Amino acid sequence: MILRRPSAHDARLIAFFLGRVSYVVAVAGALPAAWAAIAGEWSPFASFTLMVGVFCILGALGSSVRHEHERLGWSQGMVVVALTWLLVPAIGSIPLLLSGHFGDPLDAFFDAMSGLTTTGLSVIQDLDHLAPSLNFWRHLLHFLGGQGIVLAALSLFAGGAGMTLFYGEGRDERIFPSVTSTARFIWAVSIVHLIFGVALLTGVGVIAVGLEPLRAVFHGLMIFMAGFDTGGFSPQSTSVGYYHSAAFEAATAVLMVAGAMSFGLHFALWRGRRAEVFRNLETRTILATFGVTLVLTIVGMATLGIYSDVFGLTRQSLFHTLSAHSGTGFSTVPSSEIAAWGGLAFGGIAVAMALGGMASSTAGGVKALRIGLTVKLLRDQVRQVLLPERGIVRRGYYQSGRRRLTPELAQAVMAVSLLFVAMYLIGAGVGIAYGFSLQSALFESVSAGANVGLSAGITDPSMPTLLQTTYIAEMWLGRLEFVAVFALIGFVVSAVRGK
Amino acid sequence: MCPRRSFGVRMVSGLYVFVSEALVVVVSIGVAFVVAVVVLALT
Repeated sequence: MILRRPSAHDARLIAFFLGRVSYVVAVAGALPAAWAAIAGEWSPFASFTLMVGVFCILGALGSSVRHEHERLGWSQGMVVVALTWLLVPAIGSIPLLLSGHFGDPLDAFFDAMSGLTTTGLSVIQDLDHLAPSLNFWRHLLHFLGGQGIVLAALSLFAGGAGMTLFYGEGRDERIFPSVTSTARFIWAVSIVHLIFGVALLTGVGVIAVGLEPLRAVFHGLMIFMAGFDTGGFSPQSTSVGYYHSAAFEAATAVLMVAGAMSFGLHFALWRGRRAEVFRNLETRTILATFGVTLVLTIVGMATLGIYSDVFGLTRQSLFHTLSAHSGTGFSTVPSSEIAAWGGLAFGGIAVAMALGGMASSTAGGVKALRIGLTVKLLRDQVRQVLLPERGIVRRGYYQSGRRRLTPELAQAVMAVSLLFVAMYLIGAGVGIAYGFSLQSALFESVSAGANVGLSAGITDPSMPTLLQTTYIAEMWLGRLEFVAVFALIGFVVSAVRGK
Repeated sequence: MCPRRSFGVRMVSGLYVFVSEALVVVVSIGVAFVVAVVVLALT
């Protein structure tokens, strides 16, 4: 096969769109800068100003490139997405690095990547004394990533870039015919949830936890961004366990459910089409997998004997299974306790993490639609074998309408699912090579690759550099569901070896 | 393209969705509680 070397025109087009995204992130970065200025946190303010300045320079450089307002091609768009998701955490890690809470630039990049990909694993030191404006920036990264940073930019500057960038960020369901309208609907859903979510968390924070009102608003806002965007960061090092409140955990659970739901499902509910929700293959699949992993976790925890009363068992197993399946990563217990669960409970949580939430949601993992389609494919294969020779199995499924299960779709579903499994195993292999147990290494790798954030204790500031880099790559690949990253690799190879 | 909806209508629709999500959590708590009771009784 002859590789076509990318032209200068390709590079200009990519630089132009990267510049546009940089401007949008600069505007987002101005929010924590303003926060720092108002709160008198001058050191973070200076670092945010530096970050915003770098984004603005990149934006200006991109805009200065001559651009003929052409549509982005498929591969160009994918390269823009893959590079955006490297560029934003790289520049976005500047304030984190300058905060003094990270050992080296890689640690700061790890947290920024974890934030943007809505993973939630963290190597920060002394989180409990981090300036509020920096904490806000960490959680805002969740929000930007959950929205789809390029998609967020798209809704501000509609153009010929829509479709390819939309698919590049792992979204495959357009709610409206126009991508811009879809992006705006996603914004509307997020803002409405922001209002109700922060109000709920603030109320519960004041009444049930006993936080002061202003502090309750701060915690409500942070936990909202981490919960609705299925991220998993929290303002305190003990995650949601800090609040010691079942009511607060229930409130965060509502946001985790909302985050794991596809925006298509939000739209169906938004329009009052409740019957359609339960007809969808994806809804049925996630209800089934959630039920199975929940039972596994309950049985596992019960046999361990750690939670011998029914309330403690229900609370811990439900919260952690939901946190894992939605890809959020909130926890109410230390990672050492999660590592000690072992057996069925550990397996139930790990499987829930690997499967993930719904497609076109803020959650990671293989995704319920792919699991449902894989099971359907296997069932159809068995039925085909059992039928008489001329019998034909009708291959279709219901997902916001009757759809055909074409061979191309089946191939794509199987390929991405297998890539996820391979990624989980490779990450686990690196962990094992560093002397961690198979169980812990697999758990941590799945957590990184599925963008969850629960930890069995491997992720900490002293972790080996190669393992840390592996988890960064897993977070990036998992979030973009491989395609955009492969397109970037293809682009680089073509640039080197193409003719 | 669907017609634009006012902010108030969007808020009411959003509240309906938010309450539905809260209901999912309530049902999940109920299911988990029943399973926990059964499992504890059997172990």
